[in-house]
Amino acid sequence: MAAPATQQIKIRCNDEKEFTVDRDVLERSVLIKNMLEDVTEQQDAPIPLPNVSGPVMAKVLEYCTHHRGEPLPSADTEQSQDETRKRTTDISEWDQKFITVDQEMLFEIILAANYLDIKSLLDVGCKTVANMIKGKTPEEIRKLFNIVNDFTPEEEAQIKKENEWAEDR
Amino acid sequence: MAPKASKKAPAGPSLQKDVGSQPTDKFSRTREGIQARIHGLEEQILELRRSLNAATPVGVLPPEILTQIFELGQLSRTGSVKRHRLLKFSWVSHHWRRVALESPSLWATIDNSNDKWALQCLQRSQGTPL
Repeated sequence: MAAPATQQIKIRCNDEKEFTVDRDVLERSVLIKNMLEDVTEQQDAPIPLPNVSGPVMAKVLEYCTHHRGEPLPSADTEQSQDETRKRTTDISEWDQKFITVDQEMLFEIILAANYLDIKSLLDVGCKTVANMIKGKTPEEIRKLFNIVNDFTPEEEAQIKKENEWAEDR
Repeated sequence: MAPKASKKAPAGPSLQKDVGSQPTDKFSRTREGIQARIHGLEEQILELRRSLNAATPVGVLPPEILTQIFELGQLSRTGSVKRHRLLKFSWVSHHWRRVALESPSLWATIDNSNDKWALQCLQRSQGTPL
């Protein structure tokens, strides 16, 4: 029998921060949803989430709460939705505001979404980064992410060749 | 009194020959040793630069997520693939280049505007359905 929507679940992050959250909010995460389905009896011990910190989980829960009640992608529809999602990098207004965070938090949210298996959040994160690098030169991308040039002389030579080919277009 | 060396090295054509000749074994060995050290240090610097890149916020992303970002980043507003964007991503760093080149699916759309690139895309797609 399905659990009532108001059931509260406790989770514990890797910095010992605990959250008590409505089950339907947490079930946006396929990882947690599967964990909860495997538990037959009511348990009071918090679910440990060793790969997510408290501040990142707070952001993830903000996202899950906003999107609670929306249909989760089923295994059948996942592939076709993946294809559709990949054809555009548009992000809804609320999601854009939500994901306007510093770089460290942005990449931590992406990692958490990947670990918790929240496809829509992972998608928002990846699209955000894709939009950040679109239309930029390699040097501009390096500057944006604090990356230094670490190519070998052989790689540099190959890149120079590719650059010449690209200019032939 | 003439210097001792001048007795052993007669003037004339033979001296001219010495000017352009190869360094002695002693110099060759010394130079080779120094060059090997320079090479070793250059390798170390590259390793350090790569460690520096790994210690950035973007450096935490695993290859499969970076591949997804590249896939989305090469799309235009209309959803068509802009191959030159993927190329630019592969010119950012050693790690980004490896991820791009080791993801055959990224190259599975042939760029037929340029013969050299069409061939590159074919090779990099490694048999992924086009």
